[in-house]
Amino acid sequence: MISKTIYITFICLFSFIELSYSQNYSGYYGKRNFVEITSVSYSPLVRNLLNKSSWGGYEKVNDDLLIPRGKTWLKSGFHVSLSRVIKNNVSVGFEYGIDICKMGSPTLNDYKYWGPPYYMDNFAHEQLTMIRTLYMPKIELTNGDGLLPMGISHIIGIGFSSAKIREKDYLMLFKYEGGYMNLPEGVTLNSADYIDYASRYRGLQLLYGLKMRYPVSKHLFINYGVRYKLDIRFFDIYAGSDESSSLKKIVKDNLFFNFICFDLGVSVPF
Amino acid sequence: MRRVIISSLFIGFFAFCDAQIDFNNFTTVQSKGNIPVDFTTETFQKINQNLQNKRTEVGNQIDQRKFQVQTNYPIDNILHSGLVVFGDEISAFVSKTADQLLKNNLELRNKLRFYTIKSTISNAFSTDQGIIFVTTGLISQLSSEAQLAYILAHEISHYTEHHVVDAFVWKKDQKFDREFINKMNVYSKDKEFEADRLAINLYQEAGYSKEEILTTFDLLLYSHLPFDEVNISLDYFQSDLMYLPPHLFPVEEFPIKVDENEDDENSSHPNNKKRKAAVFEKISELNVSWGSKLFFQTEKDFYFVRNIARFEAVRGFILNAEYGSAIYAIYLLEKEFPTSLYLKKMKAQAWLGIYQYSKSNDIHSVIKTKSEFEGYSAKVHYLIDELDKKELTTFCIRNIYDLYKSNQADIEISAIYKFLIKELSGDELFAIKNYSSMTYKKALELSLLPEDTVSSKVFEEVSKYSKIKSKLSSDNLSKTVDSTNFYLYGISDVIKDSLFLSLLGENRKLMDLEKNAKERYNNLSAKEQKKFQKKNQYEQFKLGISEIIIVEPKVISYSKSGVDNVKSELLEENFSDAISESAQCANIIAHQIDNRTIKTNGTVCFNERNVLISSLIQVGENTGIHSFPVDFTLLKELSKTYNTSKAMYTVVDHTFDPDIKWRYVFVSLYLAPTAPFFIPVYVPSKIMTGNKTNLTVIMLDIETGSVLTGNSFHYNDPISKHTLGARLYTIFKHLNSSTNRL
Repeated sequence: MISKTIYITFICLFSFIELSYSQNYSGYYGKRNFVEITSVSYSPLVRNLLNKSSWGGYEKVNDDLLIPRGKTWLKSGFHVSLSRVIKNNVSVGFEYGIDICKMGSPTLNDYKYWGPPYYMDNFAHEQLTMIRTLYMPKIELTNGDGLLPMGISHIIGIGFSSAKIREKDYLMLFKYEGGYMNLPEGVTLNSADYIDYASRYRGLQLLYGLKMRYPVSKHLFINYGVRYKLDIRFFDIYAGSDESSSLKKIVKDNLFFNFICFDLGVSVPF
Repeated sequence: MRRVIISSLFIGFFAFCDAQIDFNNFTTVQSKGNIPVDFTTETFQKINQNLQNKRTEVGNQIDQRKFQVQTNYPIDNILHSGLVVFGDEISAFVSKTADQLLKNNLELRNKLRFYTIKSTISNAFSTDQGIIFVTTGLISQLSSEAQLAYILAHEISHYTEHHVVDAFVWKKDQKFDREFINKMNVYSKDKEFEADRLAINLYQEAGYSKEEILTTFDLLLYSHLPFDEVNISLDYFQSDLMYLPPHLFPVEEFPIKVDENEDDENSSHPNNKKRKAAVFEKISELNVSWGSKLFFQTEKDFYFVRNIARFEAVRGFILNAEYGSAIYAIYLLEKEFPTSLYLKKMKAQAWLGIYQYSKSNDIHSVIKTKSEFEGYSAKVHYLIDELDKKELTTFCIRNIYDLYKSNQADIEISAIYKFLIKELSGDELFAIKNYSSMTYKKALELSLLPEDTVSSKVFEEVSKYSKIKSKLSSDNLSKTVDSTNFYLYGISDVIKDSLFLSLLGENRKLMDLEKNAKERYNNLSAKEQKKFQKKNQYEQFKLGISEIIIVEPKVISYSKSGVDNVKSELLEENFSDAISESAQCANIIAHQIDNRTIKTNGTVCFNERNVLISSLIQVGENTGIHSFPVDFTLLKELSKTYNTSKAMYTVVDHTFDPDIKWRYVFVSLYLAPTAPFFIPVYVPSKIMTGNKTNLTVIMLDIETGSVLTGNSFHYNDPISKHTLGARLYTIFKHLNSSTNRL
């Protein structure tokens, strides 16, 4: 419902602006639209710098072995956008992004108590994979002498973000000092018991970006830049058991502490 | 036998030339024959070729490259400046003189090339590459071939002694302190003395007259004066229809102020006296028999070539808006060529220019100041200076009208006449009603008639002050016609000319519209004006043009140490490609005239580029004044050839300067928590906005010499073929449009 509202508002605004200014711009060699495919790499600088513990979580090596993983400094996603130039120095567009990343600690903390020697804090699980989709209308601005999409531009956007945990049988093990122990006979740990795959963690993303598009031909640009994003909670929707609240925190932490992203991609005007 | 054949060919060549050069219908000197490789080889290629001949005397590899860059780019800039010609009559004559000088040294002769620079300044210089330039100004001043021979010998000596290399090596070892300039002047003067001495040997061996050496120094001493010193009187300017009171013309002679022994401390050349003394000493030391030749080529050929240079000097004065000098030069040439239509055209242009500058209250830009008055030519400047604005306006109208009336069939003079009327229509001080329909002579006759009620009535109407002035006048004029208002009677026929009146009326209406538009703009606030200019940035290019001539696009790329000539040259090729592609995309037919098209199309294209560059030079010399194109006829032909009179000139300059203030970065590191937020924002944004590019575009109508529009665009794009192409596409798209909708 809310996403529909956003789309309709965007289309109306776009149409209004287009009709107002469409006659005054000749385009990049006559082309006013451009589609972009960009890899957006981000670095959880703040999170990694502020936390001493291993935020990398555990990585699955084989069916019954997890090893600790160090901090991850770079993660990537792919974004596709379609934009239209309204004036020499203004364009509007819509961006769809998908980021898939493995989240590290903190671990799930709602564990059943199995009795000694199996204790609550002896639980390790494979890194959870988060899939986040982003829907973002955006506006690009450049200075008065700009000629979009070419050159440097400032990007401002407010997007709608929806994250979920990828449905998968994550390896979960008890651990103790020195290794892992097998579960008692007849006991199995299923990730599905602990993870609510149906939950969607929705929020807003505020974006400011600085992008350079360098033309390599009349039909192609290389684009690169940096974007500064802030993922904030818009509303709190979660379903299912209390386990989801810890997952929500993990997702929120992963998104919130990734401020800075680096863009690299191609743009095609048409 | 070989000599006979060569002489015959030579005579034949000049006979051919004589048939070609018609001084009555002179056109500016143009290049002939095949275009030499000096003009078609890219500079960076020349540098690479030269570097293959390792010149250890220059220094290490870095020094050698530096030397090649420092010497080749300035020389190539001169070659492509629009002022240099090859294969022309002057260059051919100079070459023949060099042949005589170097008849015993063919190896050296084959290394040298001689080109002519169209300039009113008397100069000659040689380059390390073996090119020797001679200006038309110098040729116009010569009185014999022997003088040219000595000058060439001097320049050849600079070349053979590698003075350019020596100067480069010398400078390398110097400190650039307060004494540097003085030391450089001393060094340079030594080299000049050396060249003078060595030139004597070459000159003597060629068989020229010893006495002409010293006259050459006199030539150089007086070369700032016109090419001849002939008295001019007021009668030259008077006519039956235009009376000029004698007080406007100087009675006294203006002495020629030259000092042979001037202080040369701050000069790179020794003064004349020292040079002559040194040369005299050298001549005395030489115990050889001297030739007595002033000419090895025929005198007729010498004077022919000198006249070409003198006609070129007239053009040069007009081009540089030195109208006073132009008038005197025309006067000198008219003695030999009284019916020359070219001189009449130039005279009309000169008077038009004088009027335009007078109208703009800037007459002293085009004539000499009182402190510069020297010789007979100063009388012309004096006269123009003495005439006030209204008097000068009338005098200019008189001259141009007379030329028009006696040459109505000539398109150029007619165009100049109509141009004048257009200028007059915007002149608030020019009012026909103020002028008398009688000539001054007629008015005088009427006023002297006794018992004449008309004359007495006229006498009564004349003010007391006028009566007193006329009584005091030394002209013995009547009491009723005041000689101070002589100009009011100067265009009695013009103000009755129906064509003049109708054109004046039509142009006045157009001028009123322009004036109203200007007033509306001036009434805007500064903020509104800025907004208007911003909006109008591309709008002003909407000229409805579908075909243009694009002249030599230029790129200037700056590095930290100054202009990066090699990069600039390489980018020019990209720029040309960008122009070609974007014009095509915008459906504009672009005729490019640049180094590449000259390579393929040869000398014709080279000459066309020269004419177009001269057109731009003239516009640049006359900022604020819409000057009439000096090469009107050639430009008109060019317009016909390319089916358009619209020409575009473009320059791009670029520098990369991110301007990162590292102290901010260090402060943010010091205030550690801020660093991860500040540095990734600050540094990339500075780097991305570090490109500073300016694209300047000027559109000229080459037939009328008017600037149609022009603007300079500034942006932060890196310089590349497609960034320029996109910008140009926008401009071309606007050029192609003549409405408000694209």
